[in-house]
Amino acid sequence: MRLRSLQRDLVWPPDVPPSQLRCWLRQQLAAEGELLRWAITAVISQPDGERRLQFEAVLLSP
Amino acid sequence: MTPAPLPTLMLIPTGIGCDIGGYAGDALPSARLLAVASGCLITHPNVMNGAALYWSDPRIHYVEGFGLDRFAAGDWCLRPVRRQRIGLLLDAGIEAELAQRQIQAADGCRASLGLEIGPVATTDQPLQVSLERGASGASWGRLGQPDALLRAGERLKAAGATAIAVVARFPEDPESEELAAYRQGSGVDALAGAEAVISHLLVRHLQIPCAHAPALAPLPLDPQLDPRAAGEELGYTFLACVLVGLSRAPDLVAAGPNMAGDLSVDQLGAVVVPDGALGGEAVLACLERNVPLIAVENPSVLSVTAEALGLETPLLKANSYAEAAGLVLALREGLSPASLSRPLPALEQLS
Repeated sequence: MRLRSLQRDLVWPPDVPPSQLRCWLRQQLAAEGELLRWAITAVISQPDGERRLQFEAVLLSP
Repeated sequence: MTPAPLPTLMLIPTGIGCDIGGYAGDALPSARLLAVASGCLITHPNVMNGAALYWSDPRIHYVEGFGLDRFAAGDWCLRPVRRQRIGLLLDAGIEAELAQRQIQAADGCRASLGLEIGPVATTDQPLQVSLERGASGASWGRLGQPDALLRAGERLKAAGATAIAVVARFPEDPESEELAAYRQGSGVDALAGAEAVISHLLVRHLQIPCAHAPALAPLPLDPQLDPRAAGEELGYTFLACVLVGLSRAPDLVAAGPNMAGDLSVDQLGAVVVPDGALGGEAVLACLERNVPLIAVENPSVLSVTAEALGLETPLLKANSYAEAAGLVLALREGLSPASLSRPLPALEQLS
């Protein structure tokens, strides 16, 4: 097993409400490995209304 | 008549420099107050651990962060117990004298507090802890040898341990500006992120209560030491609080047919969390279930606020943990929190 740090910047789709963010994030990051510890560390709103999520995590890889 | 307890989840994420709870168990007074208000508080080691300082309250359930995430997601339940048998897991990277200090701390807790501790296992390789800092400023960390940690944990569980206190040798730089800032009350705990990764790994693998204390050489006296960090400078180890917390930590059981007394996320009446730290898994899982969220003013390096996430209801704001405790008490009593402030919002008219 190996531990790996991950930082990502993701566009938050307007049709994903906060109550579905956890499942949506897990789906987006499933290919990276198993999430051991993670958090959204910033939400950035752009002038055009787009919102971006900054995400930090430690993942497990076989 | 005292109303029934309102199971309440209190979260102060580790390693983000919260004004309250970012140091050495300095959120303990807030946790104690919330425990009185709710009658049943579920919280985590970062809130409760003050190194040499600790508090035990039967209304407070001590649950490590990975277990809390699984609890909030509805995967696991909490099963209160009278006591745990705590195995002590030592990193082979700890020098002999420092390892002996850990064993003496455990012996002291056996002799003076009546805790059931043992056996002791040492990893078959040094764990090689490294510290990191995310772009956000939050502390993180990794292990070079995670499998060695899990092997030692498996040995302890097989030998009868029902909970595990793990002590890993952490890198140290007594001259660093980061450490000086932390000790003087203005920085992020650089060790905390790696500590959380260690305990998350063990809990994920073994599904028993686990918590971590770092092994570090004593620091030179700092006359400017912030009171919030003082708990970490009173002794040779950080272990006593972990052993006390684990001694009555609830078992972690897969959700399913529950036993009487089990706590499940469906019973949660509130979650109390710093406004600015709403992006963690447990909080997001609570949002899925419409658990009332009390966002407390408690600045940190993060700004994932209710406004940033666009949260609507059920959301309550508190300027302090004292105010949050009042809101918890109102919810427990069945009072509408809106009735406690003015102006009273107008009644909603359905069209």
